Amino acid sequence: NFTPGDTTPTPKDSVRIWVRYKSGFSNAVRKNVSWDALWQ
Amino acid sequence: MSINLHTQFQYDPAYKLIQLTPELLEILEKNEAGSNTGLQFKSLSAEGTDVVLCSDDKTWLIKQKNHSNTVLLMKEFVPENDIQVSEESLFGLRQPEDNYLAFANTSYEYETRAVEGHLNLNSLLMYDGERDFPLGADEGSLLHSFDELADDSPCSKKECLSQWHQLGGCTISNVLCILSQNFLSKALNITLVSIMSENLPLDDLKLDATYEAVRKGMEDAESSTFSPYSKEVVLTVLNKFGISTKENTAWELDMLTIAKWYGLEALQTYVRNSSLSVDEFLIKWKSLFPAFFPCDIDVVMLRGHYYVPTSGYIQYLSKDTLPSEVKSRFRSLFELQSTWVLEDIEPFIKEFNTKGLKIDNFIMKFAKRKQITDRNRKITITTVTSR
Amino acid sequence: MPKVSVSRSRLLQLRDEGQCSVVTPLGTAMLEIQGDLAMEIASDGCDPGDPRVSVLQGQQIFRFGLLDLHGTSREATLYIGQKQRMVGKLVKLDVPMGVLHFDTATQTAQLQDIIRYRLIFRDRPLPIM
Repeated sequence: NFTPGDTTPTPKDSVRIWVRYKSGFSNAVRKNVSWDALWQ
Repeated sequence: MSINLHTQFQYDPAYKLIQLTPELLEILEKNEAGSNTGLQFKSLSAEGTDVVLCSDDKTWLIKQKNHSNTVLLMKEFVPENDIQVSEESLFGLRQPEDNYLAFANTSYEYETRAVEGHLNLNSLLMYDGERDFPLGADEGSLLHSFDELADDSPCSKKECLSQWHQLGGCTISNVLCILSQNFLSKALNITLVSIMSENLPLDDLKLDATYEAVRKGMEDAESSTFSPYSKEVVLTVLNKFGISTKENTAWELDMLTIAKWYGLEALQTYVRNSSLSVDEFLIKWKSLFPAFFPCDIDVVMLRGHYYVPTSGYIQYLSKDTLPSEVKSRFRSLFELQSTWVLEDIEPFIKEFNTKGLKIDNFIMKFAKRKQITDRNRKITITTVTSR
Repeated sequence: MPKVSVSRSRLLQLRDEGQCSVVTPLGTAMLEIQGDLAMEIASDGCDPGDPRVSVLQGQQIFRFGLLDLHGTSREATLYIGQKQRMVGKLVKLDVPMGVLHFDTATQTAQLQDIIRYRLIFRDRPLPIM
């Protein structure tokens, strides 16, 4: 039970980056914006 | 075609995405040539107030819409050193020729919702016709020009100007102020009387001629005493009760606005606490106008300011005295009057129809519909009653 | 009252003339993934000898993946690292999106670009085969 990627020697692994998938999408939250928030 | 994807280790939070509605795109196109986009962000204060985006004539409220996806903003770039991707990382693809770099990861976008901008009234005084003005006011907080006021309002300039005229905004002794309802009524009356006595054309009034007529009328009335009816006050009357023509060099009297102004005064004066028959009320209303002033009146002009306690009678009703919650508002209205014509009840409740439903569909959520066919006039009147 | 005019330094192509490429004429692209792009850096920092690391304008950047555009079909494959593959497509945004840059130091706001298309990867990652 392995994927081919596991066997491929990766150069050096000081950085790992991957997608943490989410099964859903949400965008329910809407809020008014303050002036200070524009600059943060 | 394959592309190398790179990312910064730290994303730049200064990049924000903003929805560009067709109207906003049109404004950007209109100002395509210069570095100024014609848009401005404004807020009354740094914290605790909303931010709006303004063009010359429109205002949008900014809302932040958070989402759960990863939205990377990437830019094409040319690497400083040659990048060779190892064979096992190519997965059979050709060596990429292009390189993109993710520089921002946005977890929200700004929604732009068209709203009505509001004039900032905080620094405006009320003027009631007094000789000494502004008396004892804090000089630091006074405004001296309309541009200052527009600059100080979370609102487009055009909306500011229209609201300024609506509210009876004026400049007295070089200070911006709002004319009181009482003083504006007097100023309107005196202006109309003067216009009529000088036979000025009601559809082509010039500021100078109108002011001259008012000044003459005041001189005739009481010489040597202070007259508060300055040229600026006459201009305020023309802007509030007239429609400007010929690029603001002339005004045509707005008869409907004038009729409503006197009608509201009649409602507040004669039927505030008890009702009158509609016929009696119309006579009282007409009596408030200067004699022979040519203006048609009809109670439907005053919709949203009265109710019908018994058939054929009329009484003043101020929306401000009604409950601010929708169900209670309907309950109060039906306690006052058991059956309403759709058009009569609409102005009292339309502010609650925030989803923009067809108004009768909205009302049906709180009331029952009754169709009454008037045989004489062959029309169907829709009335609503309590549910 | 706090206020700022929105300026721009570069001419934007404002009219949408049937453009449907990944990048705008000014070279910006929007890439959307359903989920998080997680990154983990070793406690002793990233290794400058890693072939995925390069330097752009004095700043370290990291090559995390590969994007394969399938000719004119608007379909795309995204390879993340050595293990994940996502299939997605180029779609037109319902509402075009302005890219604004709020510069705190100069208190200026600048419209950098207008984005009309995004690459979207909605499906669960697949193993690379």
